[in-house]
Amino acid sequence: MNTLSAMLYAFTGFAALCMAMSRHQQAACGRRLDLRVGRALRVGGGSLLLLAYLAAVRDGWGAGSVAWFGDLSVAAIAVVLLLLYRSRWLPKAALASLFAGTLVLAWAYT
Amino acid sequence: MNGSLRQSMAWLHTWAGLLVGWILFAVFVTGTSAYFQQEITRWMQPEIRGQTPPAQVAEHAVRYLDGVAPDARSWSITLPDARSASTQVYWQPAEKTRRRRGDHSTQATLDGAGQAVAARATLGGFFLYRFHFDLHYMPVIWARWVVGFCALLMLVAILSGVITHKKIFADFFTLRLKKGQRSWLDAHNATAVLALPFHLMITYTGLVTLATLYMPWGITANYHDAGQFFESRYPRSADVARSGNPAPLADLAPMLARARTAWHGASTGYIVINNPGDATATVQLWRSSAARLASRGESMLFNGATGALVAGSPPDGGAAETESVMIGIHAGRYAGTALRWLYFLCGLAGSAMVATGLVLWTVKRRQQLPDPERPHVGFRLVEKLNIGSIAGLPIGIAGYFLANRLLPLEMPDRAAWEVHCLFMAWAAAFGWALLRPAKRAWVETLAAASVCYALVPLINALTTPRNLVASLREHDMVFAGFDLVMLALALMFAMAARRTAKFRPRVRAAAPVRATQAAK
Repeated sequence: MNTLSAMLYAFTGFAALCMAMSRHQQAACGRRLDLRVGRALRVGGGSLLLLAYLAAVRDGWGAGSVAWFGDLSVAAIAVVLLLLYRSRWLPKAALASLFAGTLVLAWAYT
Repeated sequence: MNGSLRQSMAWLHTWAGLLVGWILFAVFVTGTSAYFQQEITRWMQPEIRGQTPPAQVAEHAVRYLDGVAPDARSWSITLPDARSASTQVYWQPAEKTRRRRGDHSTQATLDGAGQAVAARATLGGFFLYRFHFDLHYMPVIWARWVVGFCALLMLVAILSGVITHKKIFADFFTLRLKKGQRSWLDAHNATAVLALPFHLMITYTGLVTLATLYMPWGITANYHDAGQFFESRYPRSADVARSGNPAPLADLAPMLARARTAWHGASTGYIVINNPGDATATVQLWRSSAARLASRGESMLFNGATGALVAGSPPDGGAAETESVMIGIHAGRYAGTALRWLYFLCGLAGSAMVATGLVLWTVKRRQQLPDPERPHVGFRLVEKLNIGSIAGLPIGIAGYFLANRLLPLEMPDRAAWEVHCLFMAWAAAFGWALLRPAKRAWVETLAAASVCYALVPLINALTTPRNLVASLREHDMVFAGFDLVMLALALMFAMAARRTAKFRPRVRAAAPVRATQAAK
């Protein structure tokens, strides 16, 4: 569960970092985004990657830290594949992933 | 400075990677499969069913060993964990025992009730695990030197690759298909960069596991001989002769419980009993390597007759603990199911990284050939080695699984022959690749790989009752998962074969004659 929520947060984080890059904005968002939006996406994306770490280490510092790197890799590859095959889905998928990650984490806490 | 550093790193990356790429591919693929070695072994012994309840396993094993070898010099018991279904026992016969002719075995596999299981002889997933550092058909020391050399060049390739990858952040999410060399480079970059922490970790920690072999000077500087070092690092109970006073072996349960408490809940993985049934008996328990991130387990030594604790292993110093954790992270024995799949996926990415790198070399060089129809020997060699390794090894592994189901159960040396079948299938694929023109060879070997992997669950269904449908119905995720992964691999190879068959290389705007020849 912790791995799953970490992966979902990491997906949103990488998707945000991806959309912050001008070269991918046309494919993902259909238009170029404002510079300030780009910066916000970068900060938000990075924060979500850190949040993913906090979720992952709920399994223990050792195993959780190792798992976090694996979660990042899987999430990044997922973003790359989505960008390749269904780039317009990326913003919605990022939001859905954020929502799902929070749900999983909340469910794990109860 | 910048320009020439990148260029020299690019040169280093290319040649370090190419030289060892084919062996590295084999190491990566078999090492990746080793993350599921216990599941693979379970699939390869379909006669064994069910989970072994951990509670009475040790007692069952002792009872079995007492029945079969009461006067042995030692008994060894490998206890099952959450992933393995059976107990492995091994005994060292007493020296004077005249073994009955034909009765050579000193080991057995026990099921949950403590009965020896008549499962087919196989090395299972354990062979794939050992292959990734011991290779085969050669002394293990040679193999470990070869693999260590390849791992070192792998490390060089990773670091030089990162340095030379100028747009590592800009290209982070970039993957463009159907653009020839650009696409191969994108795929190589993606599989390398997106799993870079894993690749760095696995290569470095892999070298650490055999560090005493590659860098023995710390030992030679501090110890009279290497044996002293290993004895002090991995102490074993001393070999004492039997006193001849019989004494029943003390109950193991309190010893196991005491160990569990001392190790903060970690269970025992391995038990060695010396001189069982004698007054000089000792029982040594080792902490399961799956119980903690640090793989090397602590041990506790008990008096076998009285059950009293004699000694616990001294706590590891910083260096030893670091090494133990590094090996633990490499092997991932501590990992639960989710993390284990992450390891596996990253390992697949690593295999793809090596494969795309090897293919990229030929794609790039092909454009630089003066005459594409007659490439020079070096190019042809790389091309054939690529096909033989990247398509050939998977065919070999599928052959290993098929041999497991098809070889006669009572065949002598059955386990060794399963392994021979792996290499025979691999050699056949290699031979085919050598004989055929390159593109045809790729298409045909990839298609053959697809067929072989699709056959595995089919032959499984035809030769055992544990087919995919039955496994899904029983929620037997090990068998179902294995069959499903085989089908997924079959699909992947089929798609690769189709893509390769449809590939039309972009030809230079040369004479029309060349265009039609290239479209062959």
